Amino acid sequence: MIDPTANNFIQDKQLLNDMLNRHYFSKFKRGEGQLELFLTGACKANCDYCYLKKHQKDLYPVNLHNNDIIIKNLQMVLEWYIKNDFCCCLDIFSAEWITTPLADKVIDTIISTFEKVPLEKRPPMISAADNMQFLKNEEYTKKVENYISRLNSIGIKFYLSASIDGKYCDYGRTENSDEFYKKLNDFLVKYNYQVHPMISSDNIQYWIKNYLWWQENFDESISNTIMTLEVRDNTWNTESINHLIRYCDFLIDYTFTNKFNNDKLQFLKYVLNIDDNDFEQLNPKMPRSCYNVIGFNRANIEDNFAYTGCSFSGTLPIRLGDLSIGLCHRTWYPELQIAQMDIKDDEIIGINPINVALLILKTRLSKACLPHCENCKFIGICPGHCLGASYEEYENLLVPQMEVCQMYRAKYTFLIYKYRKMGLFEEIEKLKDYFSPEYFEYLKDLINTIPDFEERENNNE
Amino acid sequence: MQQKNIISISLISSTTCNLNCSFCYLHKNESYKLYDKIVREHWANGEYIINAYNTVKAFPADPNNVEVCQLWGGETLLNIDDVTKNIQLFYKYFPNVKEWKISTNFLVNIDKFMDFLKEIDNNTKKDTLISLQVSIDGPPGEYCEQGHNGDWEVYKKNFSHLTTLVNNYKFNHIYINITINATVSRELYLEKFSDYNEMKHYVEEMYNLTKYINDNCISRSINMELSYILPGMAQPYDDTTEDGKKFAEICKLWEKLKIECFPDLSYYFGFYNGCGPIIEDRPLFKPNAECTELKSCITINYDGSICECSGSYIDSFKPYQEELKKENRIKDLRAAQRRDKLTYNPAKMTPEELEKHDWYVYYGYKNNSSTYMHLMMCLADELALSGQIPYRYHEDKEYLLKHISALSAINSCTKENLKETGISYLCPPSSLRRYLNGVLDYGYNLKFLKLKKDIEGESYDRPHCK
Repeated sequence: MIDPTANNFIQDKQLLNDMLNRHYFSKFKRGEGQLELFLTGACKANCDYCYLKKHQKDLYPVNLHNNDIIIKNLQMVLEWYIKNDFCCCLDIFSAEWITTPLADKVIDTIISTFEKVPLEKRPPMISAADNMQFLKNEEYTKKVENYISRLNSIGIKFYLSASIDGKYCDYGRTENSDEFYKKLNDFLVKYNYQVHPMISSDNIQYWIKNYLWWQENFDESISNTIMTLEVRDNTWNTESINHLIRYCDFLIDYTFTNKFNNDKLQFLKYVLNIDDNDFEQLNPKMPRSCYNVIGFNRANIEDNFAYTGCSFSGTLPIRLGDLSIGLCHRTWYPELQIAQMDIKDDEIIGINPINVALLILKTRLSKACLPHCENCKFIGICPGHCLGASYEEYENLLVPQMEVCQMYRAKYTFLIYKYRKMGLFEEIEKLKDYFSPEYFEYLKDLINTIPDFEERENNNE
Repeated sequence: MQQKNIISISLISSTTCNLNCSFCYLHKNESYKLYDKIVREHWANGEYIINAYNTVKAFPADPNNVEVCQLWGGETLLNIDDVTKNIQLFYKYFPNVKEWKISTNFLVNIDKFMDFLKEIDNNTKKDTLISLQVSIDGPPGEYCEQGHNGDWEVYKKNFSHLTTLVNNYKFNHIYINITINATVSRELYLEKFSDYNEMKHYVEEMYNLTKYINDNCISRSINMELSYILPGMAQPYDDTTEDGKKFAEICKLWEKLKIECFPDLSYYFGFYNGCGPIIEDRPLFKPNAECTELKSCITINYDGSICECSGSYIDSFKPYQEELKKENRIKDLRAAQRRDKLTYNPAKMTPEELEKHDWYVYYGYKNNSSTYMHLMMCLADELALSGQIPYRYHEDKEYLLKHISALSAINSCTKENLKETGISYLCPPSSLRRYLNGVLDYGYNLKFLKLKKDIEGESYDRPHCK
C-alpha cells in the first residue's frame, strides 16, 4: 500500500506527521485526547448483532490475530508513548479479551513498561468497555481485581465501562441472572464504574420497564449516571420510533420529578449539557454527558458544528495486529487506513502515510458540510450518524442513514415540543451566558419554530 | 416521488478503443471487449434506447426535457453505425435533444460518422449542435506516443474528408463545432514546458495543424475552435510543492508566449493547465463543487442502470471486477465494488427502494456541494500550516474560499477522489499542491484582468475562425 518511491511520498509523510502533531500528539503531551489500542478482533462470543463479528474480515482480518505479535506491538507502542512524552489516557477497544490468556500478557506488558518510568510519564487511566461476564466466575473476577489493583499501584486507574443493557434488554445478548446483576452492582459501586446501555430498535419497547429496573436495583451512583445512546443503524422504523418517543416522554417526567424536584432551571441545564458549580452542588450525582437520551448534544457553531457523535475526532486508534492507524475501530476497511507505523529493530521509528487525506475527515469533520445535515434544523443538537454503519449500507461514510435521521428528527421534535409544553424554555434567557450569541440565537430559533405535535397531527404529518 | 430535472443524458457507444494512452483513466482489461459486445447488442436491437427512456421516466424525470445527449466510450466512433441505426427510435423517445456531445480521437469511421449526422438531420426538426471534441495531444513524437498516438496525416485527411462529405450534403439542422483537446502527462508536461523554445515548438505545431484544418476544411456547417490547442496536465495527481511552483512558472510562460508569438490566439486561462472549469464564471463567484456531469447529467448503461458518471460505467460489471481480482489490482477493485451501491436502475425498483437511493445518491452525493468545499478548504488549511502551499491560505480565509471555489469543480472528480482517498468528496493533497502554489493566484488575477477588459468593452470571447 505504501510506495516510498512515489513522487509525493516525502511530502505526504511530512503532512501526515504535522497533522498528527497538531491534532493529537501535542494534546497527548498535555494529557488531553485519547490513544486507542485496538487489541484484537478475535472473539469466543458469537453475538449476531456485533459489527466486529459481522465485518471482522475487513476490520481486523484473521491473519492479524497473533497474540505474540499483538503483545510485541503493544510493547513497541507503549515505548513510543513514553519516548514521545505522552501522558494522555489509553483506551483498549477489543473483542472479548479480559477473560482470555491475552489479558495477563497485556496487563503484564503495561505494568512492566510503565513501572520503569516516572509517574508523570504514565497514563493516568486505561479504560475499556467490557460486558463484565468475568463476574460470573470467581477466578476471573479475582484476576480482574488483581489487574485493577496492580495498575493502581503504579498510579494508573483501570476503568471498565459496563456494556450491559439491563435485565429487560439484555436478551439476545448474554444471559444474565439476578445474581449476576447483584454482583455487577457491587462491583461497579466498589470501583466507581459506570454502565453504558444501548437503546436499540429491538429493545426500545422494554426500556421504560428496564429503566425502572436500573433505578430500583442499582446504587444511585450508577442509576443516576447510566449513559445511554441510541444504536444508530437502519433498523429504526415507525413503530420503534414511537416506542422511543414514549420512553422519552416517560423519562422526562420521571427525571424532572424524581431527580430535579421539578426545578425547571436545573433540569434545563441538564438538558442543555451545562456544567457549572450550581449544577455540581445541587446535582452531584447527575451526569452532564451528551450521551443522555433526553438531552441536546451541543455542537458549536464556532466549530462549524463539528461532528460530536462519538469519540471519532478526539481519539487516535492504533490496531495492534499490524500497527496501522485508522479512522476509528468501526471503519477499519482496507481503503480507509490512514497510516502505518514504521518499525526498525523492534522500535517505532516513524509513521508512514497510506492515505493522509483521510486525516482531514478525522480531524475536521463538520456536520455543516454533511449531506442532509447541512440543511437540517437540528444540526446544533443532534449527535449525527455512525460513520461505520453508513459505510456498510451506502459505501459512503458521510451520508447519514435515512432511518437514523428519521429517528433523531422525530425524537428532537418531540423533545422540543415536550419541553415547551413544560415551560422549560421560559428559563432559557437565564442561561444565555453559557452559550455563544450565535448558538443562543440558533437555539431560540429552533425551539420557537418546531411546530407543536397537535399542529403536526392536524396537518397529518 | 418528486420529479427531477434531467436535461442531459450520457450513453455509451463503445467500450473498446483503437489507442492505448498511458494516462487513460480507464483500466482496460479483457472484460471491456465482453462489455462492448453486450453494448453493441443492445444498440442493435434498440433496447438501449428503450431502457434509457424507461430509466429517465422512472427516475422520475421528463424525457421531453432532455436536450443533450453525450456519447462516451472507449472510442465513440468505433461503433457509431450501431447508434445511427437507432436515431429514429432515439428521437421518438427523446424528441427535444438538440445537442450531441462526442469525444473522439477522430481516427476511424469518418464515413460512418457522416451517416450518423445525416440520420440526425433526417429525424429532428430542431437546429442541432454536434460538439465534437477531438483528442490530439501534441506534435508527433513523444507527445503522441504518451497519449493519443494518432498520425497527423490521418487527422488532416479525416478533417478534409469530413469537410468534403459535409459540403456535398445539404444539412437542414446540423451544425458542427470542433475543439481540439490536448492532454500531456504530468512528467512530460513539467519536463518539456519549462523550456520556452519547446513550448513554442509545441504551440506552433498545434497552431499550424488547426490552421491547416481551418484553411483547408472550409464549410458553413463546421466551426473549428482554435482556443483549445494548449494542453492540460493529466491526472492522477501526485504532485509535490516543487511541481506546483514549476507549474505556475509554466503558466506564466504560456502567457508570455501568447503575447509574444500568438497575439491573435485568444483563450481562457485554464485550458492550458487543466483547470477547465475555472473558465466559467459560475464556479468562480458562486461556490459550486459539482462536476457538471455529475449534477445535471445521468449516465445510463445499456441495461438502463444509472452509474455515477461516464468515467465509471464499467465498474459494476462483474466480469470487470473479476478481471481486476485476477490482476491483483486491489485498489481499483475496491473502488469498482464500491460503485455497485451507486449503480441502480430506477425502472426496476419499488418506490421505497428508489426513495432510499435518492437519499444517498441523488441528494446525498450528486446534488451536494458543501461537503467537497469544506473538506478541500480544510485540506488546503493543513497544507498551508505544513508549508506545502503558501501560508496565506491559512491566514486569509477569503482568499482561501475564492481559490477553492474556483478549483472546486475540477477537484471534485468523484472517480479520481474515490480511487485516491477512498472518499468521493475528498481530493488528494497532491492536487492542491499542483494548483495552489501559484497557478490559481496567477490564473485568478488573469481572470480578473479579463473581466476588467470585458467591462471596458474589449471582448475576450473565444474567436471563431470563420
